[in-house]
Amino acid sequence: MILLQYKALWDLMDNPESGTVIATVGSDGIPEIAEATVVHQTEPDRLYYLEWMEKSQTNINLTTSIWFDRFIKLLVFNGRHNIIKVKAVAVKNHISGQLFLNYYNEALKSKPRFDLTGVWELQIIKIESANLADEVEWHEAAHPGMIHLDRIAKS
Amino acid sequence: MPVKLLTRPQELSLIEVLDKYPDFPYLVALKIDVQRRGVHYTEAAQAAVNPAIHQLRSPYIFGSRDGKILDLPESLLLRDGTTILTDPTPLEQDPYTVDFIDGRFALVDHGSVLEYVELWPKPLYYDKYTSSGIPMKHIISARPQRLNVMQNSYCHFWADDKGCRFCDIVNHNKQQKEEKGVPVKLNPRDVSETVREALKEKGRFTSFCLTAGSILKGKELFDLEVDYYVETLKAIGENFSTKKFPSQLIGSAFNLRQLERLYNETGLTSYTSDIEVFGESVFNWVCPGKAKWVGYEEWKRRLVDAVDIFGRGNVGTGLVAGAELVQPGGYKSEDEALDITLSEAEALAQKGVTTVYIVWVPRPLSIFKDEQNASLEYYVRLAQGLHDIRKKNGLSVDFDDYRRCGNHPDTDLSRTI
Repeated sequence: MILLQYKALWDLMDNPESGTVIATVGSDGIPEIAEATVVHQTEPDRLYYLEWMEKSQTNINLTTSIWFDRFIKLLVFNGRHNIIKVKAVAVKNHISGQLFLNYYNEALKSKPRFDLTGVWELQIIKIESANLADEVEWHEAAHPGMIHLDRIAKS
Repeated sequence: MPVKLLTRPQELSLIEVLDKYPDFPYLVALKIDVQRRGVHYTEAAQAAVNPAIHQLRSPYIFGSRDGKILDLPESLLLRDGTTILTDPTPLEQDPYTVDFIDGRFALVDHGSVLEYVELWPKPLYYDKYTSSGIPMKHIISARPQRLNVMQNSYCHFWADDKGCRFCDIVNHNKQQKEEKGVPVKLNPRDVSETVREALKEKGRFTSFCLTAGSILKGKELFDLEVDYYVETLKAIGENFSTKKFPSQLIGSAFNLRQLERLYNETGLTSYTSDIEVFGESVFNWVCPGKAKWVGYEEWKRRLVDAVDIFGRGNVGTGLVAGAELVQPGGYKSEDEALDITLSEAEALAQKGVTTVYIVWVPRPLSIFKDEQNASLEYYVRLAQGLHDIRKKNGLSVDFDDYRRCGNHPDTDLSRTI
């Protein structure tokens, strides 16, 4: 089941039509969302977020996250119905070394305007579908008493 | 060389400090404590070092805590990208241990693994030679994201027997020249060639740091030192398409004319002149040469002058934190030292000068060799205090941050502003 989830996530991420949003929280409690470049390698529980700006609010919040063990979330989507939500923690910030240099050199070709500042290694804690229909179905099953009465009234 | 066994007074441990200051990041506190106590590399760790990919100890302006120049790892990186600049330290001084466990380097304290760490990666140019036949690693040394150019390793304050009491620059560089053949003064041609080679490794470096011993000679005090910097900076600049390139110069307290010359004639973008300790009487005792030739108030005035030229957030001064507590000339308590230090840093910050600190370690070839540095709690409070002052005054410290330098716990905190 878990491997199937990873495969679905990777398939979605690998689709060039897909997009990713990262959500982080600052030390002041203010949330930040941003369009994100996130890639995977071969380890099933790891994702790599490529940061282009040292002083972006997301980079600042990720620093806070790794210092104080705060979760972050990703939303990977392709259209309205193919959406996966990922809960993760930042476990490492690669600012030098071979992994960083590999992504830096790749970015020189694919995004020459952007200067890669760091590669955040994220450990996946949980993967879940974020399709509204799936979530409503889950919610109805888990909390059957939370419903407006008119919806179950005799017509 | 005999090593003094240090006996520390009762002080809070790492865990106790973190309990007391829960908003202070564990990784930065750990960095401070590792810098404070030093490291010892186990046999397993030494065996796992791969000189093809790991950077071994390079020429540096100051010596090691064990007084030796050995082929040990240069230093460590924590998982958040924090750099730890730390020296091999005699076991008698209770250092942290770097071991090799389950295929990874680990930072260990009294048997407990605290963190897995990376060794600094070796840049490709380290294996190259200049056309004059000098190893390029002897011309420019590297940090994870920075190039260090130490153009001249003799300090004229020493000739006058007034070297800073914590400093070992002349003794260390004599040792470095004798044992490793490191040149005492760099040729700008060698510097330019080495920069050109270093830049071939794309993504490897973000800035330069130039520093050297003070040179008192010239028509005006320090003129010759400025001449050398201008010459070296111009040689570096040959490699860039822009007039300015990210760079820091840590030099003597230059006058306005000298500062203007550095800014106008070179690609230099920031200026630092280390006052070392705050408070005039302690400064006079710890830094007798700086006190005699420039003076405490004049040193600060020149820093403020530099803001007009380099701009707010591009001028700094450094403290050798802990040296201000050495007796008999230093402060009598950590509280007193903190009060004066933070109040002086605030006054400078209001005028656009930022203050950073390094964790002072007693080096065996310095006058303060038998002393000991401050408590972890002191360094944590100092880091937080200097960071808060920057935040309050809206001062950035981009040129001296965790990746462009990596040696200042207070600027590690400023990653979040």
